[in-house]
Amino acid sequence: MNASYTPHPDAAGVLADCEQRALEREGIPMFLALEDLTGGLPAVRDERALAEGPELARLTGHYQELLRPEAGDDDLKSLASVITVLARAHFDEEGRA
Amino acid sequence: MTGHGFEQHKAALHEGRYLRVVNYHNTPYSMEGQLREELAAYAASFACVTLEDLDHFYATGQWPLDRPGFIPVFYEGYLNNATVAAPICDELGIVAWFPVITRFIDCPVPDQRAFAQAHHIDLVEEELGMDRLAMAWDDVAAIAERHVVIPHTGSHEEIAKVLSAEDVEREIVKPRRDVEHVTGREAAAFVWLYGTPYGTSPAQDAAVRDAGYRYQISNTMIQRIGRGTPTPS
Repeated sequence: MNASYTPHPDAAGVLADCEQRALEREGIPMFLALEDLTGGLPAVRDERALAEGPELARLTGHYQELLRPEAGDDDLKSLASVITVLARAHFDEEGRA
Repeated sequence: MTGHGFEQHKAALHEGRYLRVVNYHNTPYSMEGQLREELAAYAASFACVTLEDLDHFYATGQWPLDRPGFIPVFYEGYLNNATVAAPICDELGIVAWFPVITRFIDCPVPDQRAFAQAHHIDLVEEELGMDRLAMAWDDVAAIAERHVVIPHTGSHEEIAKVLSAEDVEREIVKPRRDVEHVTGREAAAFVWLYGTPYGTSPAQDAAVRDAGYRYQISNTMIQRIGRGTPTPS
């Protein structure tokens, strides 16, 4: 299984669109990271996630460079902005595939 | 790798440790048609993730699902989540998660608007004239029969203001007890106002963990913070 996603050609426009949304009444898609602080999560074996995940990571880096190049690594507000763009543009890639 | 930043998030994505969620707040009747259409589209592409599915992923590294997983999340405990969102989810066979502000639900009906205004609970214009704005505990119990209900603090308090033992009891401990009492099910996860992640405030982190929560949900992550003993359902 392979995934190959194309970056949105107007990421700044997508971000502007996201920032205009009415958070109190609209559904906001996100990609949440799954962390395990108990040290027990085995390596992921899910073929679909392993195929798609690297593409999503690559796109996150792309949008980070494009939209928030000055943000520090731990700038959670910027991270959330980048993830909302990622989700807005690529949430249903799997569904379309 | 653990942490909260860009690199950690990209590492999680790269390693296949991620999940789709859609965060909702108000779901008034005026949005009913749009919401049904939106959720139906998600349901056609994705499989809903239950607490058991999430536990399974953390135990095995695999999703027990035939499609990519997703969670529709309805925040705050609005009455319109019970009267509009939950019935649509039931109609479509969707399992959703409902983080509820427990003191909003406790609040007497005549005081709910003032409570909302004082606790960062956004209201929509078309509902400002309504008497009841929050779910009742009976609504919570009914929703929990088919969905996942978890506390979103007692009064929508931000983490930096939960300092004393009384604060911890009111915002973290009692909400879990109340949800479990009413639903008869484990309240396994906790969400702070503003989606603050675990790992930023040691005292409050310990309080959440000691209260028995196994997961903390933030703006960018779901963190397993303890293994606990699930409450029998």
